[in-house]
Order: sequence, then structure tokens, then C-alpha cells
Amino acid sequence: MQLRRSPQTVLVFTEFLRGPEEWKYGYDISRSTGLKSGTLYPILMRLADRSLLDTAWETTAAGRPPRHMYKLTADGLRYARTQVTAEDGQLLHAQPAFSGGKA
Amino acid sequence: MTRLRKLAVKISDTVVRRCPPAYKDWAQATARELEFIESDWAALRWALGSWKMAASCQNAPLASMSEVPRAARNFLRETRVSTVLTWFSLLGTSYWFSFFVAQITRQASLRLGWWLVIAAMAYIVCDVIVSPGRRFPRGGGLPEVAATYRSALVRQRDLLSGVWCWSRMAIIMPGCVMSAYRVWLMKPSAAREIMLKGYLVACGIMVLTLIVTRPMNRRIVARYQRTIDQLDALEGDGG
Repeated sequence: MQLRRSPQTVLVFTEFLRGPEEWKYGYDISRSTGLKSGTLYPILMRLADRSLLDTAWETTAAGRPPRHMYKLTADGLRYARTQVTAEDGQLLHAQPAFSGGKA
Repeated sequence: MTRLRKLAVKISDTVVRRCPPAYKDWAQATARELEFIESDWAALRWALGSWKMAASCQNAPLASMSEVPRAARNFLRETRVSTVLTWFSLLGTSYWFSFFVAQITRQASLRLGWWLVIAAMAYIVCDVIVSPGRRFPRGGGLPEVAATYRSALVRQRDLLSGVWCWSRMAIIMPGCVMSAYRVWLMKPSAAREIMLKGYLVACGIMVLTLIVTRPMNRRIVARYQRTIDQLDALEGDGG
């Protein structure tokens, strides 16, 4: 369960805590957090390895390729809340930096 | 589809193809996102990021003995390429240097110093040739593959650290010092000034190279050692 608390990991946790019940896409997380894919995906992979993150392939209409989606598990949510401090938590109420105002 | 977009798709496809089976899903996940990225430049940056992610997958810890053949094959291939590049760069430098020595001076002690440098570089090439990188044992069992992988890791670790690494650097020094001292003793002239400046630049490049490569080598050596430890642990557990 132990995971290094890096600023990037906290950003990812913060993004997931914005909508804990929603499935999120990689590119949307990347835009909201400002993390590049080469940084974001290794974090997601580590979270999934530790069973903190659920992953699923989206079922889409015919002709469109499925997308990978992510959501924190119950353990992941608990862990994320311990990792995101009150100071980080202020970000939860701030506008996302890279999404042009959209979540 | 623009050229940039095509390039991004090509990179992503390559990443999916070359990613270890355990991480295939993740490579495909990054590839699928490309379709939802509007800007071509952003798509290219995304694809390059997925390449970085794939590189980190290649260095991922060994989870079981079944992953050893893939890791060994990749490592031996990378090692062979870097060894061949080292041979060519050293041989090329030696050839250029010997041509330079033959043309530029008739002073015996100066020529001796430079020939010593050339001999040292030739020795390093021979040293690497005498202990060549291992090849992947085709048709060999898992224990044989693991043993080959282990010995290749140990060889590369020792090549970048310890006595072997420092002795290779040290044998170049006598020739450099001897020729530099001889130039220092020469009567003041334009040629002497040029050669002294050349030595200063060469010293600067060597120091800079050491400053840049030392921490890099340390990280690489630590990674090799971690893999050796993982391999030992897996063999101890019986896979």
C-alpha cells in the first residue's frame, strides 16, 4: 500500500477526489493536472498495481475504439484522503488549470 | 490526417507493439486517447510521453521468472548495440589521432606521449573484445537464460563502476600528461599556444564528461544491481 508521496501523485489524487464516483479518462486527467502522459501513466500503473485504482475499458458505439477509464477503489479513496492535505485540498475547489474551466 | 498526427499514431503503435505483455493494456490505453486529442502537436507530445512510459515499463521490476527471457533479450540487445558503438568511436578516435600524430610533430617524446594515448585506447577496445557481451542462448532453458542475463548485468555493472572502470580511464592519463608536459617545455611559438589551448579544451571536456556521466552511471549501476538482486531472489524462490 505504501506509495511515495510526490507532488505529481498528490495532483492525481486531488483530481480523483474531485469526483470520486466518476470514471475518468487519461487525457482528461492529464489536462486537469497538467501532467504529461509519460508522468501520468506510470503513476496510474503504480496505483493500479497496489489495488488503489480500478481500471476498465469503456464500451462504446460500433466504430469507435474503446477508452480506458479509471476510478479510485474504496481503499484508494481512503488512501487518497490521507495523502491530500488540507493545503492540497484547496485545489479541489479551484478551477482546473489546463481544462479551460471544464472539469 | 496530418503528418504530425500520422507520426504520433506511428509512435503509439510502436509502443503498443514493443511493450512487455504485462503492460500492453496500458500502452493501448495511451494509444486510444490519441483520437480524443484535438491538437496535432498535443497528440505528438502525448505519443512521445507514452514512449517514455514504455521505457519505464522495460525497466520495471521482474515479477516472476517468466519475465526473465524478455528482459534478458532486451538487455543483451541494448548492450550489444552500445558495445559496437563504443568500438567504432574508440577505433575512429584512435585512427584520427594517429594520423594527427604522424603529421604534426617530429619530436620523439611528444610522439611517444601521443602514441601512449593511442595504445591505451586500443587496449580498451581489446579489453572489451576479450570479454564480449553474451548472446541470448537460443533453445536454452530458463536457468541458462537467467545465468546469461545475470552475467551480462554483472559485466555492465563492473564496466561502469569499480576498478575496471577507473583503470580504463587511468591508462589514458600517462600519455596525456607526458605529451602535455612536453608541449609545456617547448619554446614559445604559435604552435605551442595552439596545442596548449587544445589540451585545456580537452581537459575541460573530460571534466565536464565526468561531471555529467558520474551521477548517471551511478543510477544505471544501482538499477543493474537491483535487477541482479531481484534475479537472485526469484531464483532463490524457484520462480
